[in-house]
Amino acid sequence: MNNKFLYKDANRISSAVRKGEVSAREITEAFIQRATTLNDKYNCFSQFLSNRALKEADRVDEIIGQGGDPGVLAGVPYGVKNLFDVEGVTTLAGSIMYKGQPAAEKDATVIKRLQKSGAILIGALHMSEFAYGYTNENSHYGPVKNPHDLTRVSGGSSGGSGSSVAAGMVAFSLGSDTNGSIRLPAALCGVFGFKPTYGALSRFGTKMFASSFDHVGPLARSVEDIAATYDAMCGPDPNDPVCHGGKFVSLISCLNQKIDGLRLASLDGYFKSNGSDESYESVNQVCKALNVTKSVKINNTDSARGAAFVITHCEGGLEHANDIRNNLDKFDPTTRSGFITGTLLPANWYVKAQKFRSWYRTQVLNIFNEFDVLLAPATPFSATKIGQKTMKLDGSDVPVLSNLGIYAQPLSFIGLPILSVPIHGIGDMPHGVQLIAAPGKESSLIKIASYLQNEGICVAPIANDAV
Amino acid sequence: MNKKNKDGEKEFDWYSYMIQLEHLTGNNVPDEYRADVISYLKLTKQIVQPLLECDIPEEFEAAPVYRP
Repeated sequence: MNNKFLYKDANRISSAVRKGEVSAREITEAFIQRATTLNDKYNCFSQFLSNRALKEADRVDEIIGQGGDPGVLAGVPYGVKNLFDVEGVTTLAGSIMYKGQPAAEKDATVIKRLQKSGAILIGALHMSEFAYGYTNENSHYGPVKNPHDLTRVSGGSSGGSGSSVAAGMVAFSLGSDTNGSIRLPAALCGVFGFKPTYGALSRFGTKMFASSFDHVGPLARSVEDIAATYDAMCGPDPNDPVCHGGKFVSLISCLNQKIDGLRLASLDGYFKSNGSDESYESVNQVCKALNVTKSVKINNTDSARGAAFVITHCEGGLEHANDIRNNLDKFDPTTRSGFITGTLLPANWYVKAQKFRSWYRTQVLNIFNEFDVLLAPATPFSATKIGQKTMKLDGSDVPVLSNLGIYAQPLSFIGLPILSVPIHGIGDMPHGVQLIAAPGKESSLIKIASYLQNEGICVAPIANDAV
Repeated sequence: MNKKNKDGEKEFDWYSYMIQLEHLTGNNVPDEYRADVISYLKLTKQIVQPLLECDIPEEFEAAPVYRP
């Protein structure tokens, strides 16, 4: 096939398929070939689903052949973090514990919806065990590598999702975000990563980490693709008790809109400390492009991080209580202590964390009375070396694992919609900037991101090494 | 639950805390993992400390609110 489609985003591929310029089967075969070849280098995929993918592609071609509309993602190849249920495939969630378990009987809700939109699932992607961890250095399956530098981490826990998109192995991917697990790999791999409002997208058919924090969302190389995939997956789902489906506003309709009326500010205080100069410069670059002159401080953000830490560990410890009792030796050494700790924390910490959550939420929502979109770094530093334990910040050595998520965790804690947009050209590796809105205001994020993309400030090229 | 360190100063005894919680929760932490768990408990305490020192107005209820 003509390889030009391999380097296109989902929007362009779908357009070509729907116009009959190329068949979904040709696209799918080419992507599977490319992804299987590159997988030895990047270690993104845990399993390829070639038979399923070709069946889905043939179905799309059949619909087009009959003059029908296969959907807005017609023939677009994608991958999913391996905590999503895929019919006929055992859901691993990055662990070896579940390898012998029966295969999933049906697809996760969001996968079904993507299928209805014509998207082609080509495989399952590696992740940190049980979605716990920010670097994706999984001891069982090996580290997922960063396509911008193979010696560096991809970010976690949706590392396979970030790396596969940055390497052009898929047009988009799905990840999950508990405390930053979509935004971090998106930032470190230099792509867009979208964590919608808590409850906007169904999590039915996914392996949870900490239910009151768990979100699912897309990673992609363009704002159009983020919008299109979100629109395709959106909607209520009675099978997920927290899924309200959002107040549906087509995000595709928010592209290329004026942004004059949106009130913007950068986050001050906590979000301008404990980071690298490069991370601050990334935010400054976006602020300059948007003419943002105001800043605002969220009080008690360090307490928010602490509260998120406590609740996550308590919920995660309970989720894996049986695994802790029966399969402790099979845990990844990097997650074992964290899950055990979650079973040992005092109840009054947990209750105080929940009480704080209500208060903090109220404080932050008040800020949205004055501003529509807030800006902050996605990570305090760019991708670290694989195996690197500490990072020098302000002259001190800080642990990478417990610090990489410091800017992400206090925001997802209260379920805000956040889009991490990529910044290239500051230092050797990509950075990410979080665009943050009030619950249900995803449309504001897409408008801003679309503007930044059109201005050339936030773009997500396939990594040079993978072209 | 304190013990004296090598300088004779009192410090929290994480080992005893872990053993007692193990008994109460029914989770047995094998010897080979105990040092890592204690390190993690210490890290957790450090990260949680700002929350523990934070005064929350009384009118705020813990979320989620139970509704029968």
